[in-house]
Amino acid sequence: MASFEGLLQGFGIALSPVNLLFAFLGALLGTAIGVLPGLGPAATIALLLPVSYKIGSPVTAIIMMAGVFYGAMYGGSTTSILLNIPGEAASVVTCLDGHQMARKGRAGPALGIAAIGSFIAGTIAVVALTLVAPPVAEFALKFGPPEYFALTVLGLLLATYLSGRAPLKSLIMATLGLLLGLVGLDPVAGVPRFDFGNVNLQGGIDFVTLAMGLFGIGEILLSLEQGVIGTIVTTTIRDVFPRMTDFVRTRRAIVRGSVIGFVVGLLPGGGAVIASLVSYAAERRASPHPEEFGQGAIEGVAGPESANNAAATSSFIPLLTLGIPGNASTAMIFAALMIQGVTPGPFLLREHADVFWGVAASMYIGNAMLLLLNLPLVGVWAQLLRVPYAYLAPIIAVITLAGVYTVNNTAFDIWLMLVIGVVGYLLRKLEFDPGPLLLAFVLGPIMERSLRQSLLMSAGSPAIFVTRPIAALLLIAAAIFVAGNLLAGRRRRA
Amino acid sequence: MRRWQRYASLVLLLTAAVVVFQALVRLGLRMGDQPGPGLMPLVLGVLLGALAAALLAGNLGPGEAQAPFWAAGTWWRPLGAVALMAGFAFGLRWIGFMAGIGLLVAGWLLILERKRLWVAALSGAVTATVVYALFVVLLKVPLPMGSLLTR
Repeated sequence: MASFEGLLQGFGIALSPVNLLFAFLGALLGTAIGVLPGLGPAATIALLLPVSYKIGSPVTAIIMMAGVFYGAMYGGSTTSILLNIPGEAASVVTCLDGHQMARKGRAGPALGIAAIGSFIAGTIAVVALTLVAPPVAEFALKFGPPEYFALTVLGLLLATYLSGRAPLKSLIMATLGLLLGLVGLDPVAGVPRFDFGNVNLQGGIDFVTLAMGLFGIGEILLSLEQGVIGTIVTTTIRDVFPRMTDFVRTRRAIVRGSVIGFVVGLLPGGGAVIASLVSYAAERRASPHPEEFGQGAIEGVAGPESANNAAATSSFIPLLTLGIPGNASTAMIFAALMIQGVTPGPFLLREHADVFWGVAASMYIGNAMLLLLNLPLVGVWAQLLRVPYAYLAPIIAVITLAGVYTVNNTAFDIWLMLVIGVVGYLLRKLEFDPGPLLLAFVLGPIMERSLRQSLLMSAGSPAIFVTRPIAALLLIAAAIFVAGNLLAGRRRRA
Repeated sequence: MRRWQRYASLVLLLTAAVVVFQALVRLGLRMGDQPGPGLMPLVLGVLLGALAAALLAGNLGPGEAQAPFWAAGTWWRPLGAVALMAGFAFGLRWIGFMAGIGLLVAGWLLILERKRLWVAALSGAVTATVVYALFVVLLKVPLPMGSLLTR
């Protein structure tokens, strides 16, 4: 009942003209960047962070950024289907069958079922978020510093192991992220750490500078080197509304994708990419015609597209209730909330109920907006694929430079961002995923604070982490997870 | 690529050594009866060192045929972009944000994308105008106009 009342309050907030406008802008921008290859939702939210300073209300800022995040999940399918290049990472598997459908003249139904599946899954996930988030937040109120330390350790381990193909490299990136989070004045002793005598570093590395360097400049440099290639299959898209037989064939795939996506999205590091891969595998296994997969099976589009949307929505649950972002995009939203003076976590529902319920209600509205944006306007999005990257790259660079300057009004941040951007580009070339670095950078201060508070509580004894049941359980889960992965890795090599 | 992975491991090992040195020598592990500012850096430095050593160990030996780090003729575009952006940051104090953005976009299109001069110049002017409207007029951000242009 409390959820229902909260949701009603949320709709009151989300339906205000300003919030409706920003939800629409977020959904529109998200779809556009999802369609355009070379710029992901994390990079776009990074570019929007300086703008969020200027938006007075935290609800409005987060409504827009959430719209960008789940809007990109919708838009990514268009590029996968028409160009055989994923518009963003979660649409990789959509290329397999979506593009084959397009080559057979069925681009319309492929785009249509992707949008409808995304809408249904997004709506199911946001209903589940409404019901699940309040009890999770209530439970999390029992957490003290030792529990938070254990939770950040488990969350970071899950995120690093699940987010990349190379766990060792992901762990290195997470460790580097934790170290970068230490730069600046020590919060307890006031001693400068790793500032190398530079006064600009005493306040620490700004999240916007790091995010824009890694994701904005890093992606531009890589795209400049590799180029964005591909040929659009068709520009005339017919029969966007799928036939009844298509609906019958995909109804179970959409429901399965929604459930898989919701569950996987809850895990740190799980996110939309893994959800879509798991869903594709599940559909192939469940199908009476597995040989059609890879040749243009419509379930191979409906399942993963539903899953990535459900995952995008459910990843807000650990962010808003525990204060633990599970992927790079939600880490950006975490930073945006902090910029606005709102701390995500169990107290969010009590102290900023307007933010939580406003964002939840905006997701219902945003999903409906996206369905309207994606079905009738799919031809317009297809035309967007004709905008040459030659013009987009310098514009993105300019927005990045102006955006990072606005944080502290100093050219030092531009230089720092350029250095981080070059490092990010080299790291990508060496196949290091920058996502865990950013996540760890966000979680690092929480981890250190809770570690030091815990040791203060126990007069320096680390036994506090094993004598408190929730902390002990979380750390045991982390140890089992690491041991299981090490054993599995050894078995694979043998 | 294994050679480059080895170089990366060595850089990471060096970073870990610097972190551990700073934690032990400059920061300190205890502060009275409390954990000191060097505790977390020490733990992370040791962890980074161990992980970098594991990466190095996994990339020893000849491995597969050496692939070049940059395919032929692809390195100059990212390098050119970095040089243009660094030039922008360097000249910001004198020519200001708007002129800098115009020159950056024009230079980018002219040098990196081989566009015609008038296309590059027009794109630079339009981008600078849009950025001015968005950041200075709409968002009220005081972007510097440059000492040469405001005299």
